[in-house]
Amino acid sequence: MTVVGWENLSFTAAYFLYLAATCCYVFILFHSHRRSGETATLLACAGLILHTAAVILRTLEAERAPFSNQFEFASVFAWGIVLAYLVMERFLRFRYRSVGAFVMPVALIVMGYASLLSRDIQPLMPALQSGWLKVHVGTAILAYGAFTLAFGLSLAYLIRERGERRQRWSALMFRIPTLPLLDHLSRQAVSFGFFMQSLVIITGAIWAEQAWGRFWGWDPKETWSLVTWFIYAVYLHTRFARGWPGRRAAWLAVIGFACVLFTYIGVNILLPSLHSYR
Amino acid sequence: MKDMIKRKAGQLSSPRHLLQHFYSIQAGIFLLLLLSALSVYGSLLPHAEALEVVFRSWWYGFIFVLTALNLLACTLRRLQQLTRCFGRLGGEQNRATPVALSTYSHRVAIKMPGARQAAQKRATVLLKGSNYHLRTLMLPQGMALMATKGRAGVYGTLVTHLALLVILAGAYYGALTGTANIAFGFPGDKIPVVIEGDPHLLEISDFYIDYREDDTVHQYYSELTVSSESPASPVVAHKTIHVNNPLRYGGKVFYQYSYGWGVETHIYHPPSGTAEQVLLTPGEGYYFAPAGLTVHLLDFYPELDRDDGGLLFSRSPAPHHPHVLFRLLDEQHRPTTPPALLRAIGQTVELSLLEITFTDYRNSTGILISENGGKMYVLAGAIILLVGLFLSFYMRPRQILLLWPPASELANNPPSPLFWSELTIYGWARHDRVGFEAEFHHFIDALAAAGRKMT
Repeated sequence: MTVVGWENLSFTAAYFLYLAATCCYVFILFHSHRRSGETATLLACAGLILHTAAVILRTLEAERAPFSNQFEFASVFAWGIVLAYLVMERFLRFRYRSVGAFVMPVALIVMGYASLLSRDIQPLMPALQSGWLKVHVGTAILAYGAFTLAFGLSLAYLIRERGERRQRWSALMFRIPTLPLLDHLSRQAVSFGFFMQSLVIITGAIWAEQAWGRFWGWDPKETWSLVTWFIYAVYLHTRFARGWPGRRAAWLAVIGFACVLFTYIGVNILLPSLHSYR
Repeated sequence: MKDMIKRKAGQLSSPRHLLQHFYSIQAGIFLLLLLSALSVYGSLLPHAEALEVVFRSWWYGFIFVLTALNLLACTLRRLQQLTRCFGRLGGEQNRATPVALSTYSHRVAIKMPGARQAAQKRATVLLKGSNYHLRTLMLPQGMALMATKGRAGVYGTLVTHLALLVILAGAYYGALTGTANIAFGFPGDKIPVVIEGDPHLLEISDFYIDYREDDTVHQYYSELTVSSESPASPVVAHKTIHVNNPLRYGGKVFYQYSYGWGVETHIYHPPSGTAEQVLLTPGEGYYFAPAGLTVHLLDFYPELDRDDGGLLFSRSPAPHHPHVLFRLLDEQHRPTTPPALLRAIGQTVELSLLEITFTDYRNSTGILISENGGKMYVLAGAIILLVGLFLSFYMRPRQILLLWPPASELANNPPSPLFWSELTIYGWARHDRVGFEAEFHHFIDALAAAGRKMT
């Protein structure tokens, strides 16, 4: 089998492992079953290993970092989400696996989107032939992974908060972490993502200056990455504003994630941009 | 009651009150959301229109400056509080005001087996392992071991907001004083440029395109030479530039920006016996006086093909099958008949008493020559911003104070393993309180592993 064949096989296997892991995570949200939780983590880990192998194989085949078109970015975006989630799960000492039910489906959808795109390996166009590509896109993967994690945590927050507000206590509510913990974790994820997003914008600006002769040109991709940065800046400032922490902050994390998705997919499809790499 | 309402209304509209509103974090949130909404609107417009209507408008820039000033003002308002916090983490406050113990958010009293020295040693190892800086203090309340970390993080937000102002100032300075011009030229052309106030010449020594096997472009290269008028050292800079690799000299930057085509055109007028050789670029016309006609080159197709509708296009940028589309215009700039003609390079066409031959083609290069004095400030601001964010997020100001009351001191004098030492542990964190709580209780558990928790 060729390298491309092995890459496709690893990618497909990773996709199905993520699918199985997602099913397990959703299952443990509704049924307290320790073994299912462990299985979910194991499946996600196995998926991540195979996904990593697929990314490495593509790197070998293309002889460059796999960051140059929609398929490649979708693949590493999903990889970043799963990595961010598993790091958090380990950080929480595997106590709150139910959070996986809010994060893993996003990774699965992004993987599904990637599988619909062309996997042809294209050589890099002149503007992309730069060392900044690795730094710029590499930091974007970490930023987007962290923002997706914050989105999942905020979604869990909103569900639990709604239940608590309406005094509707169900078993599901007790499997979701407490509101202060969800808020804390979400804030940590956004802080990391915000730092990385700042790096994405700064490295992108330095690269744009080298390639196009200007730091900033208000290209739709640049504008939307700045909008994303603004939304998360508001999120981080809610800590100091009366009436903003909690539910409103969680909604901001959800809106911020919608901006992330639009920056990545919407701009490429709907808006003419220098960054529209199909 | 009426007086009260009047007073309240007066307060609300007073400049001081408005200023207080402007300094508030709520105003900052509003401004950031407003900027987001306006940016989204701008991104949906065609790019040139968006620049004119939104992004380069005075009011958009004004909102940007207002936002930065608001964020800075919010931080400066809290400067006293930040300084106090910085001092607290340095231990000064605790020495000056012993009652500050009440300001700690966490308080746990524990009893440890052995002398105070043994407990202190164990605590020192644990706290140093968590990167705390330790100092021993003699407080009126007793002997204390103060552990602090993340002191620099107190000023994280201030540094971040100052950095944003530096970036904005640099960007505005660059926009006001910077220049950017595109110069097109063929190999051998010399373009005058002014560098640091002195006239210079930019010579395009060569330009070539590196094609891949599938005829896609791998890279564009321009060989540039910058020379001064000084006879002693005419050549001041020389470099083969390509996309992502510009030539920088004397504050000017020369970028590989674009490329184009030029067609060598031979025009002969048999009745007068006049012939001329000109280099035409697509879109360009040449008025040939003997015939009173203009040769107008409409387009150049490196590899000509037609789509299903018969429209012309180039299959690749590589010149495998080059053709030109041209027309002749009369004195009134009206096209003669036929309106447009397509010819291969090397072919001669006889038209309106003219013999026109497109003898050869050449590549031209587009060089962007820019100068931006604000660049360094923007870059410096970006670095400071990252430092500020790092301080804000990862230098978390925390303090743990272990206090042995004087009675405990006496009880353990002389130290003996038979004695118990009593101590109270205080904890405080500026932010990330959930994270600190976990660390604090982890520390207590580790310290009290051999002891007995009292409270």
